[in-house]
Amino acid sequence: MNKTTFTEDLENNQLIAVRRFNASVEKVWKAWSDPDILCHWWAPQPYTCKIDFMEFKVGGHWIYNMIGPEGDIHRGRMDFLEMQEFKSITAEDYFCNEKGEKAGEIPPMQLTVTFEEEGSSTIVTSITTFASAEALKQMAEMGAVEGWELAMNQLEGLLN
Amino acid sequence: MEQRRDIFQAIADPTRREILSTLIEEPKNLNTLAEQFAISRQGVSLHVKVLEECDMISISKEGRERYCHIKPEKLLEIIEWLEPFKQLWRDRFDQLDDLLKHIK
Repeated sequence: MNKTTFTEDLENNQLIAVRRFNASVEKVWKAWSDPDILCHWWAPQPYTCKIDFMEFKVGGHWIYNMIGPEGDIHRGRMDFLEMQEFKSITAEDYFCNEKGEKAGEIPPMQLTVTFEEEGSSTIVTSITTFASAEALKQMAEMGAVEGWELAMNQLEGLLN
Repeated sequence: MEQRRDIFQAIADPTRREILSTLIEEPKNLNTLAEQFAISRQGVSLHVKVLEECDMISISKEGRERYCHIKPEKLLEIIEWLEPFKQLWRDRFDQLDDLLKHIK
């Protein structure tokens, strides 16, 4: 299995993740654009993902639920700002309530994903931009944020 | 109430981030720093003072000069904050990798 490599760009409040997939760009793109596939990899185990709404186009958005083993639900939304088929997606990512409205204390993050075909594989780069160093800290502390404590404890558990 | 000084306050300001970046290369004195930035020497001094109070840098005296040294272990602390996000993307990409093998 290929590895995910990371770069921290503290000057720009960015975390950059790069991963090579042994699949064509069309196939990788489908895994992002088709909600039936997306819902199978978006939530980290043991969370499951349920997609309420998906309109994969500029100006569109998707609303997803990450459901924990205890039945706890964390709702997120992504608004698609820019898109170039098989090349890139730029979106605003934030927590939302059941109506799809911004919720919680954490400012939205910007996510840019690029896809590059290289031979028979595809290199995916995801760039998460946090609103500020303070927002990053908030996100990282998580304990202060309703609902996310569990997810983060679980993620920390995976590290050990 | 006294303001809490921590690493995130240190990097909240763009000029302070730039000062830290340039100190990663080598320790510098105030004059050298002031020449590098388009703000006054007093402005640079103030940022340096905040960085020192946040424990991001130490200042040593050599003759009449005061040199600013970065504390690399403090930068590492910031990078550790990012670990949960890295794990999230690692998990997602691992799951995606598995899934791609099964998609026609």
